[in-house]
Amino acid sequence: MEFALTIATIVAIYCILGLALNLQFGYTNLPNFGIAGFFAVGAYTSAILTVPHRFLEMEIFAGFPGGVPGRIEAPFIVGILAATALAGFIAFLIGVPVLRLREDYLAVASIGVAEAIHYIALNELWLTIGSAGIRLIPMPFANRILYFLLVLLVLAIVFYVINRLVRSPFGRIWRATREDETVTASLGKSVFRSRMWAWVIGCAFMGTAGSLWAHYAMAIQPGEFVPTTTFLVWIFVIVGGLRNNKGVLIGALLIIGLFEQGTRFLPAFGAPYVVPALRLIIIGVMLIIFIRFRPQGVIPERAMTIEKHIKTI
Amino acid sequence: MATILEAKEVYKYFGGIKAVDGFSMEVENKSITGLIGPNGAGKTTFFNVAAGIYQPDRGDIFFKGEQIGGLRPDQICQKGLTRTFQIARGLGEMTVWENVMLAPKAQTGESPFGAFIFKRVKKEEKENWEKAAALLQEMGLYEQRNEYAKNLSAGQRKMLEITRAIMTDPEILLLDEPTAGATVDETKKIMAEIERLRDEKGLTFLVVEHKMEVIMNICNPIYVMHNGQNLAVGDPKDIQGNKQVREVYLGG
Repeated sequence: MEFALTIATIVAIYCILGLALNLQFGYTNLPNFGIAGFFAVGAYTSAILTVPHRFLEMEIFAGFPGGVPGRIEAPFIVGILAATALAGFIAFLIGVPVLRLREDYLAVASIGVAEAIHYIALNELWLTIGSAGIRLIPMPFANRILYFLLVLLVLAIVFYVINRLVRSPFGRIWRATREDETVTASLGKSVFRSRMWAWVIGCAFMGTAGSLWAHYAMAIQPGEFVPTTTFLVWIFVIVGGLRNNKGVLIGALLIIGLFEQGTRFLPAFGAPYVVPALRLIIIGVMLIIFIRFRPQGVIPERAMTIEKHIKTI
Repeated sequence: MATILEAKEVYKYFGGIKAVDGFSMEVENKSITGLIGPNGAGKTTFFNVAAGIYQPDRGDIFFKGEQIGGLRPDQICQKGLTRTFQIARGLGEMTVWENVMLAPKAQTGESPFGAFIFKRVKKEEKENWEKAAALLQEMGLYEQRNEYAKNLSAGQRKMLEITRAIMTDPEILLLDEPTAGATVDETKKIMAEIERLRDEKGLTFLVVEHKMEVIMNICNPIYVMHNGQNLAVGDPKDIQGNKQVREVYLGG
């Protein structure tokens, strides 16, 4: 039961990351390879703002000169909102120069940004405590079941907001931008503005996910926010069905739930590192199989008829 | 009649290639003006400059007396000038109805916050669809409204592109080979639509075309472009009788 709850919570947090990536890459064709970076911004922002003074005292006792964490003691709601806003704001700053470039440059730039954020977390001790990470991050309700329900609520909100945006006239511009920038611009729509919003909204939600993760794990360290996280999200979004939000949820359940977390049940054999490595191999093979035989994913993008659209918009 | 679009000595070079080399033209309001010339004459480049896809190296482009040379394509479209493309660029992975509903200007739901003003978005979507549905019906595309644009025939895609352009509510439409790839019937239909839109909605057209029956039947005046420069201008009769034009274009 405890284990199922753990998996469910982690899957739900990953779902938010996947929905955000789908918004950026699936609908607007912005390849974000810096997911881990924005996830980290959210996690650290929320952790630094909410961690109790007791943590600072422990660190000082252990010989640390002291810094920002532990001095603010803000409530969770402040932490998660600030995490969302800051991740979005950083995305905006990066987007100004980078979104005018072609997609491939954005892909490279986003990897660089994520690495920069990783190193900031590692080296700016006054802000992040460095490699030891931040501990004693409070979990709202101090109850795993209630916290899981909270994560689900946030996931539902994110799912609703992204779905609504994609279906709205605004989302049509996103998808038109994905198809052909020149045509979109020639129809009077600002391609830069449309891409910027997709970029900022997606990255902001990645920050939200980071905050949820920090308060769930109650301890974070720079080593968690590495490209592996980014690639896992990419993999389950592709497997689940790029451009289909329900597909993304199924992909997360499948890849994160079954393989990344579920395989912890695999009986240990051989050297201690064999099983964890096997897990990544299984995920990799699954990705290859999907790209080869079902590139549209478990659930592909579905067109809506105008009749249904008018009724339900 | 008033001039709606005026190009004055427009230059656009790509390295050593003089794509547009001091070209000038005037498009009268509510006219269907033709632009012809051999392949590589610079017609499409001129369209791209006029629509803001390229910046002119030199020269002025006035739309209703206002300088538009150097503006972005979306800004130029917002002012009332919309173009279509030589190779129909349908937004393939979107349905026909999504293609045409993309185009209307100043939709409330076009911003992340506006998308949540439910009542207004719903009302506007209904109104825009009424307009779009009527147009699609005239164009003979209504039955295909829920199809992906990529599944249409070449001629249908041309029709879709024109419909979409009209949905931006332009004052002038720049059509780059509107009948390329269309069948004989489709060509006739597109020609009839262009004339109808001019007569009923007071739209102005600037048309690049290679099919002589289109140009000579509906366009007046006709500009002839050669090596990026003006070669001739006149009504269809003048152009057909012009010796220089026949040499470079009509095949002697």
